[in-house]
Amino acid sequence: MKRTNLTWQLTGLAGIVSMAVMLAGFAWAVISLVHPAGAEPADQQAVSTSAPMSAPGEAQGIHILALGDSLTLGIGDEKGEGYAGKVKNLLRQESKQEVYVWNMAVSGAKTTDLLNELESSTLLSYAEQADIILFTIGGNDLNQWAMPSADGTEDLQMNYEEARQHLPEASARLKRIMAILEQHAPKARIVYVGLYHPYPDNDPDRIGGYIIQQWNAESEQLANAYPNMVVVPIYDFFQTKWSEYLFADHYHPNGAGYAEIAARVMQVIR
Amino acid sequence: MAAVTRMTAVQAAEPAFEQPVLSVQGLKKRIRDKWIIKGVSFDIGAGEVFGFLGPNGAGKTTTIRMLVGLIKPTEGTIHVCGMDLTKRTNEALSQIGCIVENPELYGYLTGWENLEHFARMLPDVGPDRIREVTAIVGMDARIHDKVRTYSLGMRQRLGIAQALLGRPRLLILDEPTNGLDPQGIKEMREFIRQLAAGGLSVFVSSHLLSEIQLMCDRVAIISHGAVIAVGGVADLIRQETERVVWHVSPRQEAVQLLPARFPKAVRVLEEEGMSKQELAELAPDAWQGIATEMSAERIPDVTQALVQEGIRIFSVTIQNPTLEDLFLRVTEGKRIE
Amino acid sequence: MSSWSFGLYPLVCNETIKMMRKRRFLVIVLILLVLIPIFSYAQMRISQESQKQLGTSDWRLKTEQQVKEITNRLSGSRTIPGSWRQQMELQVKQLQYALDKNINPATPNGVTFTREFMINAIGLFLPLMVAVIAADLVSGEQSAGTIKLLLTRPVSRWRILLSKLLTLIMFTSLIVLLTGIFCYLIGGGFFGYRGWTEPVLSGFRIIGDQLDTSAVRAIPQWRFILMEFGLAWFSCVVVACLSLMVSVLVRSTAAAMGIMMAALIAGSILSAMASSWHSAKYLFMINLQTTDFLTGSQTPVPGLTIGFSLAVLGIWALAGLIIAFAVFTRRDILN
Repeated sequence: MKRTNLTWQLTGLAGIVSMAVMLAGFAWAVISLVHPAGAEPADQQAVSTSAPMSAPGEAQGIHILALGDSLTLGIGDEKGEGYAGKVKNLLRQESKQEVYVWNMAVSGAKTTDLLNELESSTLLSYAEQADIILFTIGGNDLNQWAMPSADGTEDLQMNYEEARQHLPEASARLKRIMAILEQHAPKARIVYVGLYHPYPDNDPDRIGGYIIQQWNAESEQLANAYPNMVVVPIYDFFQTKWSEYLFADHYHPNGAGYAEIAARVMQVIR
Repeated sequence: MAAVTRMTAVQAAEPAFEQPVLSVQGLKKRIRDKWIIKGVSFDIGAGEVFGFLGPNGAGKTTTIRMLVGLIKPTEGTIHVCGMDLTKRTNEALSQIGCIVENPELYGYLTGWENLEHFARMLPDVGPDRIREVTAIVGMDARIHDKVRTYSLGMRQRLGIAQALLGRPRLLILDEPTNGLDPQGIKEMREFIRQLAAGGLSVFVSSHLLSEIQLMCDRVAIISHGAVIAVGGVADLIRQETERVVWHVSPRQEAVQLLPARFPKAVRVLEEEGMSKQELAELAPDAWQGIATEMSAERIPDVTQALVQEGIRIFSVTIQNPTLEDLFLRVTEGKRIE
Repeated sequence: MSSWSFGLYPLVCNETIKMMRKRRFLVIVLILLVLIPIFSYAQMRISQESQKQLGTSDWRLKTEQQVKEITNRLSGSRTIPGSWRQQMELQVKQLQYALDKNINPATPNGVTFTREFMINAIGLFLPLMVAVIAADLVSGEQSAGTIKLLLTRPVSRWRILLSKLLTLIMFTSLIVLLTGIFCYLIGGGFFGYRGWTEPVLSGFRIIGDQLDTSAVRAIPQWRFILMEFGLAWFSCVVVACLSLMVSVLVRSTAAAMGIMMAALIAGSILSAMASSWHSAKYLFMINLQTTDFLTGSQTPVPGLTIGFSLAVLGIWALAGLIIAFAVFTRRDILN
């Protein structure tokens, strides 16, 4: 009998209390959702964030910041690692240290996109923390201009002339990108991975190859200004073994292609 | 409102003899297009044990459910202590304690918790009253055990304790001896008589005549949804001719002799066209002997006649009239399905 | 009306004792106590994994990484269905907004875990728990036969059902509250017990396919959780009312459970694909995710507003109760 009364009193009380709490929460939610005014705007409170900002790079090891386009993202790699992921694995084996990759690449990014991002967002604060910066950019710029316009013409002729004309503006942006990275990461090893020719079979007059090589040469000259920055060429093996190294989309490298790129990168960051 | 309440209480305290505790008039129930109950009327007076007799499926339980408000009657009225059940439901129900079919209580609660549960649904029923009814049904020893551990007999008793909680004026019990052992049945009978002696009216349904016969003052017989006879138990039994089964040898001679010698007084059921199976229902070995319908007073005469003819008599058995016999008569030979 | 039409108090007391003794509620508590540690552990593995990947617990880096991942998924596949794509775009915008305002969208602590758990539990998990205790309330008495004793007492039937409803709402509240308490206590064991006063962004609104941030406020997490649990509680109460109706209409507890489970699971499946079937917004199951309005997530049927959703839920609950009471007070008890 005592037990019964106790059961009832405890559960009854708990039930009523929880009902009151829930009802209050519900009323508050409805009121503040229907009449959002009344609370201070987020901007004014933003400063007062109490989230403890832990310093990035707190964990011991090598930190790699990877920037750029789908190449850095690793599209086409069956394992999804890309060259950045493969570099991480190789480096970890060799250095016996933990290696972390902050992959901030955006598929389809062009020089404008990367530049915008570097100038506007907080990416650079990570550049400051990074030991190694890997990036690819420019491929989408050239490809965009060289691609035959989709106006329905059956002609699949690449428009290399267009690409050639725009080349200087793109490489000016590359110069700017390199300058910004250098400025924020003067001590890091900065590696720019050059371009390869994705359509060697659709370039009868070798004009496309010429433009890409011109870009690569220019990037090497730009990087030359900074002692900690290197350009890794990958044009050569894609030229000779493109069918072996290209993914089914005939644009991105496949796993083997990325492995070759990673091997090249490893040579300069060891 | 308080004044009304007090008046009701006063009425309850002074039993009005002319007013029946339960009065049922022209009760009918239709479910979809089928009339389940086709007309039930009876009155129960104070302190009376009233039997409600009928085979399974005759409409006993449906009628009881109407009496306690579980089912609404299609036609007819039910008055409990003068209060119309459909209009003053709660007041009427507070005068009734009941068990409908099995005493189904909460198995996951103890007996005591069950009683507490139902006590909370009644006015002015406290722990003292719970202790009182527990003592009345003799459940003290196991009242704090979970009901799911009880035997059927204990559940039956707990059910009655529950029914008595609210000090009702009418107790409705549906097949109260179902599943009880002979000792339990005997105790139940005595218990019901005892309750009635204390002024409580008891309504007992059963499909067993013997039970009703021993327990009840009056009885109503229901068949196919209609009450076909109401009266004192003794009266009804008296009207019934007894059956006598003779075990004799040689059997065939006796079968021919009996109707010839006692043409009016003795009816040999076999000769009347009753099948073996039907005879077996009257008594397990009736078909091996000779089943007759006759008054027990004639047994010496018949015995003498058989002995004179050189027929040897092994046994003479009087079969008490059963519900089925009663039915055969009141329903004019129509058999129960 | 007379002396035996006394208060509901003893009736609610009865129902509460039965609910506790039936142990169904205890089973639900046990389910919570088993599942929450599992979810906590899974959550911990996720955050450990991301920390292992990134070598830092800096939330900004993690958030940027998330933004990049979603952006890449969006541009990588053109086959993502429209509604999903929109949802991802909105998510990116919210994360970006959090970055801009420098407010961590998911600090790793017990309070955040509680907040996230409720968002994930309100669509299906909690409604199922509520259905488990509610489905049996009347049908259980029917199948056990105890309803015959219950309804032959001098207490009006509507009072009995009302006492059951009140008890049910009480226990529904208890389940929601206990979920919160367990999440905090268990999740706190994994992630730490601080974080009640951390700011959370609330008030994102979706207008068309645009994210409206004009009303976004940074509110302390405790307030967010209180409002979130309040909204979740409302959804649960609606499920409770409907389960009670089913429990009245159906004689077997198993059937009542089955019906409610079918409705709720169908609802969660529909939620994933109802974006193009607009009339689905009148179904109660589609509107259960009331916390969406607090987090500013895309609703299963685009364009739902808090007012509309609460009204739909309210009408369903009310209709359920009207049917339940009408049937319960009139029905003949035949079995």
